[in-house]
Amino acid sequence: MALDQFLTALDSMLGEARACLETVDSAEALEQLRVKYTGAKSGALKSVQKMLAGIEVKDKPAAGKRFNEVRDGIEGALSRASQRLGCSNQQESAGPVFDPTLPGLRPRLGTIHPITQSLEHLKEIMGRLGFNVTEGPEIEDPWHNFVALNIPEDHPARDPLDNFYLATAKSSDPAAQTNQPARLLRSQTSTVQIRVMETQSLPLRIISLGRVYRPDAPDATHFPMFHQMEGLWVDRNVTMAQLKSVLRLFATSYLGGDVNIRFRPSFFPFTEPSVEVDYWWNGQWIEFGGAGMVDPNVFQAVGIDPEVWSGFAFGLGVERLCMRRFGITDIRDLYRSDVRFLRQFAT
Amino acid sequence: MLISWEWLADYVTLDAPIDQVVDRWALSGLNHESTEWVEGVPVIDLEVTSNRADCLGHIGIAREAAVLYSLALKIPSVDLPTSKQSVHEVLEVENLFPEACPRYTARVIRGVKIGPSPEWFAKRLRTIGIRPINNVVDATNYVMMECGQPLHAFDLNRIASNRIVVRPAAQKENFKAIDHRSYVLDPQMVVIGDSKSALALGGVMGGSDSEVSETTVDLLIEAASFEPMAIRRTARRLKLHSPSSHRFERRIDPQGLDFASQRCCQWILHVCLGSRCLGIGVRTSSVGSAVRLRPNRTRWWQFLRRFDRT
Repeated sequence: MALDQFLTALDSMLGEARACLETVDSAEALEQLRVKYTGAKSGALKSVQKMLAGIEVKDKPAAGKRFNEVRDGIEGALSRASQRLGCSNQQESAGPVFDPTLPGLRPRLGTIHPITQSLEHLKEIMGRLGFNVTEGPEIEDPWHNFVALNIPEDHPARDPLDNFYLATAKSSDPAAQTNQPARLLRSQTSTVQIRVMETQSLPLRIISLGRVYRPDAPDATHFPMFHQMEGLWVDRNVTMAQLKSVLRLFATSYLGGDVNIRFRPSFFPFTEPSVEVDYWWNGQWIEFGGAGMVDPNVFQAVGIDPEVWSGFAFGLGVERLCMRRFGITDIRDLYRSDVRFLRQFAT
Repeated sequence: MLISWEWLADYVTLDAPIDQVVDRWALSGLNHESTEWVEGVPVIDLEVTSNRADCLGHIGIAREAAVLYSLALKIPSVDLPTSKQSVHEVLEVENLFPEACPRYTARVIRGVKIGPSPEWFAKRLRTIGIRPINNVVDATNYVMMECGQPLHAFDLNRIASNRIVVRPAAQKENFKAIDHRSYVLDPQMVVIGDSKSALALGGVMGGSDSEVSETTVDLLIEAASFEPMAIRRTARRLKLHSPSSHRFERRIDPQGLDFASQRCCQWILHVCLGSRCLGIGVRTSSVGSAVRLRPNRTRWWQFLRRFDRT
């Protein structure tokens, strides 16, 4: 075979292959082209390589050199096309060959923590009732945690034994020592109410969910860190009747079925009047949480006129709802991070 | 707050069974903790929220029941014989710390005979967990558990120069209380003193030096009101919590102060054979102002009614 003929065949193949590979637009078409040109049995390169045997001995070095260039050119075009289409070039993959007949290693999938499930569930229900989810910092100052919530200095709730104050007095920053009052881990999510009322315009309908911290010795029903859901509705004519309706709708959605709730008079510094809320379930009244009409002192602390606006607030312990829903009897089990236990509550 | 069912009957006649009454209380804000039988009497433990200092005595709880069942509340009447002698000849009271003690009253009783209280009286105290001491101390405790107003009895003859001074404690002043422990005070605490030393830690606890003993003949009965903040701070700082501090921290009705004082003195005259009673009142602030309630406003947020601002 003449060298010229061979070289022409090589060049036309390279031109055609490049043209096809530059315009190829699917992984399937690319794979077909790969087989067509570089297939091990009947690829175009393979057949051209067979023709190399018929070349005269003196022309063989030039023909071989050109063949190698064309092969590299086609392979280069193939890998560019493969990269462009985003599929891996199997020919260049490293490591052991994939053997689909071997038994697989099942990946360890996590499950959603029951508390996270409960939080999402609560957000979803309250979202349907028109409450926006808001968040606030877990490290708070006394203004947001106490003062604005009508909890004066020397109130038992501010006792260092009942709160996690941060040791800022030991801070090396002198400004922190002189100007800033001791910060603390928030002891209630009501702090978010204050932050929202300080910054957002009225009317408001929000919930905040999150962690709160109190130095309780851990037992079956107490843990130094737990979650609360806080709700706040401020508008021109918010009444206790609306509070009761919202909480009843909430209880009905959460527990399923028509659930009755009742109010018992109580006392909280940030609401007046205040109530404890119970719901009727399985033949008994079960404590639900605390609620009430926002105290005028709280409105005044954030510059809202209590003669014009009214509002209600409520707070619920998320753990208690979660434990009842999942039949968990010891709060500490939620935070032992034992995946064998937590896996049981996979959705 | 422990309530004796038998004692309560003095103020309201309840026909309803205990369990039902307890439920009504719970739904009106007095949570039921437990009911136990002590010496054959049902004793009910009710949780009183910190805004309801009026319910820290049997009369207050009885008032709740009377309202819930539309019954008459029977408050005992007092008719205290007065002495011809002026109390100012016997005792002088000076209040140097009206910020913490807005009102101080004292009554003097002479010639009492200290002894045990009558059994029915002592039993009422025992059933609600108060140890009877003697007829005078028991009378002050009884009246406190009746109306919620803490009282204190001093041995008049242990008061130097017949002079009572209500004053801030001196820095690092030492005080020996009736629990026979010593406390170190600071100037934010109220001291009831005589011309020489501290006789009592105001609103919190009496002192051992002026305590009523078997040899006591003449008495001073103190009824005062103290500011919640001052008492709370003192009790917390000294870790000294008493039934008295518990009540003052929650603000006792200053209007009930004189009734409690007279009620206590009347009982002491009756049971301790005291001869004469003299009263002195030191009032440094008004006895509390009226609370303004706007019924329209109440309806506004309680029910579905729009607030009419006219």
